This record gives sequence, structure tokens and C-alpha cells, in this order.
Amino acid sequence: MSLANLKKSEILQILFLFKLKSYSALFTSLILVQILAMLFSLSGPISSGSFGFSGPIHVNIGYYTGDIIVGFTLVWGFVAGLLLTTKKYYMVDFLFVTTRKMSQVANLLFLVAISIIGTLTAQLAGGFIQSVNVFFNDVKLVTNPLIISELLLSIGSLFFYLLFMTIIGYFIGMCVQLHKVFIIVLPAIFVGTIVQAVRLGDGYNFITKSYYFIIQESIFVLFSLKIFVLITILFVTAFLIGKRMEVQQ
Amino acid sequence: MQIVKADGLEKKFGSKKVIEQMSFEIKEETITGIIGRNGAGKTTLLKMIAGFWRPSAGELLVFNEEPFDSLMASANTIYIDDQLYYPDTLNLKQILQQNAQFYPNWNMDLADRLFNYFGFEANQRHYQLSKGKRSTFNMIIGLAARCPLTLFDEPTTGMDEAVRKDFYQALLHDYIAFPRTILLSSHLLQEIEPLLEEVLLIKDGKVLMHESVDTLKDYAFGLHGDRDTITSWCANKSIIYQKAYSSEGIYVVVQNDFTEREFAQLQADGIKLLPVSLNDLCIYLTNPKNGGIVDVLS
Amino acid sequence: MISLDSSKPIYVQIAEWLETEILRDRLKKDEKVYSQYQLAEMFTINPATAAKGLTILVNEEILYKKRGLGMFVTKEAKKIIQNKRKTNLLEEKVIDLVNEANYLEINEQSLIDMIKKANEEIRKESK
Repeated sequence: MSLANLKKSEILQILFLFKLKSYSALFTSLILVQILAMLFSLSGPISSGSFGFSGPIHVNIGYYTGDIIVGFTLVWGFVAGLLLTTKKYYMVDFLFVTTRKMSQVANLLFLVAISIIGTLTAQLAGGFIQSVNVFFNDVKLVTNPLIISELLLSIGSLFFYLLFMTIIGYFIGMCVQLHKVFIIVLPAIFVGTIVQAVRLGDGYNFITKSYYFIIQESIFVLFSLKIFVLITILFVTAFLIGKRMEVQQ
Repeated sequence: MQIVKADGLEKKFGSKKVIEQMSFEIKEETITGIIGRNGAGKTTLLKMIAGFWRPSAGELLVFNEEPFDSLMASANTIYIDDQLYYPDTLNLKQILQQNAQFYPNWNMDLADRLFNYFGFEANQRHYQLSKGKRSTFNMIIGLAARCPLTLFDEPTTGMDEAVRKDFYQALLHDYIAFPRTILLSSHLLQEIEPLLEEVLLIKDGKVLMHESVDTLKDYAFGLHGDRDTITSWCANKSIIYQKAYSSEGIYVVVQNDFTEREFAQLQADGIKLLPVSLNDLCIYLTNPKNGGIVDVLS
Repeated sequence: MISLDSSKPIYVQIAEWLETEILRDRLKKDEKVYSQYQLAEMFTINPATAAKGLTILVNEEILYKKRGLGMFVTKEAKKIIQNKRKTNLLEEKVIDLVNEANYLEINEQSLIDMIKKANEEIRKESK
């Protein structure tokens, strides 16, 4: 009997491809979510740009009607990240060959991959909505979306937002796997923060300031950097939780 | 080479000790039966060996590495039970192909032949299979993976007798073709006994006995006959089990440390000597101390 | 194909089965016997157990090993088995028989008569 010694990179690749293949339902749901968002965009008033992820960013990711699509996609990303930590998804790697570290690195790669795909399809869907509006609804475009540099910035920032959302989902999921008490604790913190922010008022308290500092950064490079640091902190924490986790069925 | 080595192994869930002070070694290329009552700790032990669960204390080595988070141990070990979950998006054929990608020794030819023999279809889904069919499919994976360490936890759940017999045959055939170390837990000791070389008997999270099947066969025998005669014979022998069947008749299972002369004497005293099957022996040995079900019911 | 019973160790049953094959001349002297793996597959038993059965027969000089070729039946095999069964099996059975007769309070002469009668019947049947 000879023992097999596999290369880590090899296994990582197999794990990653396995996830792409076996989680294909996620992509189906992405398409459904975006189609739904497109329908809303078509039927709703054109001024529905209130979905709230544009703000004073230099990059205009939220062309008026694209907002719903972006919003829906971000929610989808959050759920996808969350889903990856559930018993069904987390356990399955261990039926094959893996370690907790490898499994989580593969999860990160997978989240990056679906963020790229989600970004591109959202962008395409947004473009489609615009064209439809231009052709059928007699809407005049205020800005020209076809400036390449703007388009790239738009894609880049949407990607970071989406990846951020998936990692938040992943992080929260891992916390819940660690202890069920987080199901109550985390929403409580979230709601508490918002309530506190509203109570403090003025928009100039600590909470709103940190929100503006991180999320509403208007310079793309700084924005990317800040998001990157946040993502790293969240993922490393989730990773450390996952490293000790036992396989449940 | 020792494939599995446990030394003072312990596993707690909360404050409850499920595995306690377990020490044993599993030799390379043997088939060992993990035998014990429900809740004795068989599954917990196997899941720790598979690297799913982390020991609370003590040492556990698989291929000389701690299995929890060892890539080498993971690549060379496969764990099969009736709860395996595969993604709904994959059909049966794709699950086989996925296994082929991960396991270096995977034998697709064997997998295909068993797959067809047991009447599976490529586009069936794992979650739609009946209990017995699912066990059968999982068993195919366990065999075709040809992992140097193969763990089967109650692999025959739900299988009918014909399929179980096929499974035993297939297991043995492939074990001969590709020798490996197999740990097999089953309630059907009588059925798997011929396959086994060794038995690891577990009671309340501890190793009660780790012996070859043949040694266990000679470990004890039953005495059947007059109560007084047998009681005097067994005065300083260790009794494993006893049951009175009438006011003067009794059946006693006793540890076998009798000499040839004692045997002859026993027979001359009109006591019937009966062999004890491995299955019965294991049941008697794992009985709770305060008697069996009869004492509760009477 | 024989079925295994659970009372005797399997390796003993394998050895006894091979002995019977030799007694019935299905395995003749200097003929190659089944390997441990063939036996394992035939009876669905662990190959180590099958090997143990073969080893017993080698130790009793019923079989001999040829390096790399397998195991073969010795010239004296049949005789050894007959002697062994005579002393072990038959004597044991006779003791059982006598014990049983004593419980039933059958005297020695009646027991001998019964044996004679049984033998006559077997002879008649085989004619």
C-alpha cells in the first residue's frame, strides 16, 4: 500500500471547480433575481433611483434604473455568502479530500468568482434596461454610459461592493455556525446601530461618520483599499472560526 | 505499520464523555469490526479517525498524522455512512466523476460495473434514492475510492439481504484485489463475522476487547445442565452470562480457562458443553452490569 | 459450496472442508489446493482466516508448500486425516453415545446391538 501525497494547489483547483459545478443553483438564482429586478425597473417609475447604493461616489454605478438590479444583486451576494457556511454546503467538502484551511480558501475563491459574475451580469442587465428605456420609453440619457473609464470604475466598485456583501454573509454565517446565539446577537447589533444613529441625529455622529468614511469614499483607489482591508478582517476572522469547526451532519 | 493509533483518546460533548481512555492500534491491511451497542461510541470514534471531529484529549494518529485537518490523511481516508449528503445539483454519475477527481486510487471501472449491476441510472439524484439504494450507492463510492483507510459506519442500513450478501462479496473481492485497511461497524455481527480478521469491542466509550476473531471464538463456552453441578464448577471461574431456564436447570457462559481434564470431567458430570457464537458473546459482554432486559421486566 | 456454521472457528471449518475434499478424492496427492485468496472468495471469508486453515493442514503434514507455487496434498494426507478423525472425531462421538446411553439406562449389550443393526441397514442401502 502506498499513500497518496497530493499537492495543495491541485486539490484547491479541484475544490474550486467542484464548487462552481455543484453550486450551479446559485447562478440560476442570480439570473432569476436579476430578471425580477429588470421587471421592477421596467414597470416602476424612472426616478426610482432611491435604492441607495449610489450616493456621492464619484463613480456613477447607479444609473437611475440600474439601482434595483444592483440592490437585488447585493442581497443575492449576501445570501450566497451565508449559504456557503450552512451545514449542507460546509460539510460536503469533507466527503471528498480537503482540510478546513483549503476548504475556506476555496470558498474565498468561489466568492470572488461569483462576485465577478454577479457584477458583469448586473452591468449587462443595467445596460439592457437603459436601452429598453431609450428605445421604448422615449427617455433621454443625461450621462453617456459608454465612456470606458467610467464603465470600468462602475464595474470595479460594484465588484467590491458585491464581494464585500458576500464576505459579510460568509462572516455572519460562520459566527452563527460557531454559536446559535449570533442569530439573535448580530441582527440586534445591526438594528441597534441604526437606531442609535437615528437617535443621535445630525448625520454627524460616530456611526454615520464611519459609514461615510468607509462606504461613501469618493476616490476609487482609497475606496478599494478600505473595502479590501474590511474584507480581509472579516474573512480572516471567519477563517479562524472555521479552522476549529467540526464537521456536522 | 500501524494505520490507526489511539492513546488515551477521549471525546466529550459538553460534559458528557462519549469516548474515554481509548488505546488501541489498527494494523495495516486488516479488516476490523467495530462492535458495540447503540451509543457505545462507534460513530464518534470513526468520525474522529476520519478527521471530522477533534479529540478532546489523548492522542489519535492516522498514518502517523493527526487526522483533524491533515490533507494527507484526508486524501487517503474515506468515511461512508448512511447520512452522506451530496449536492442536489449533481446526478449520480456526476457524483462518481467528482469522487474520481478527488481520490487518486479511484477505480472507475469497478464503480461503473457495480453501478450497472445494482441498476442505478446516471441521471438519478442522490436525495431521491430509497434508504437501501442510498446505502448501496454510498458503498460503491467507498469501494471504488480504494482508500488505504476505508471506514464503513453501518454501511448496510436499509439494504435487503441479497444486496448485503453482494456487498460482502464485493468488499472481499476488492480487498483481495487491492488490500487496504478497513474498519467496519455493523449491528449484523453474525453476517460480517466471516469478513473480519479482528474485532474491536466497545462498551460505554471504552475498549472492552481487541482480539482476532478466532481468539474470541475460543474465549468462552456455554455450560448447560444441572444448576448445583454447574454452580460448583463455576465457583472461581469468571462468568459472562447466566440464565436459569427451570428450577434446577441453568445455562452459564463462562470464560474458557478449563483444562482438557476438566472438560472430560464436566462431560462425565452430565453437563452439556456448547459453543458460543461471536454474536452472542459480544451481546453478553456488552450487557449492562445490572442484568439484562429480563431483570427489568420481571 | 458449503455453508459455515457459527459454532466453530471459521479456520477450523475451512481445514475440515479441505480434509473432506481429500478424503473424497476430490483433491488427490500432489495436487495443488486452493490458495488462501480462492478460499476467501469461495466462502466469503477474510483471506487471513483462510490462510490459518491452510497453515493447520501444513503443520499436520496434510499439505506441503512449494515456494511461489502454492500448496499441495502430501502423499500421506489421506491416511493422516483418517487416523486423526478416528482418534478425535470418532472417539469423541462414541463417548457422547455412551454417555447418552447411560442417561437412557440402555445397557452395553443393547447399545452394541443397536450399532450392529445400524451397520446392517447402511450396508443394505449401499447395495
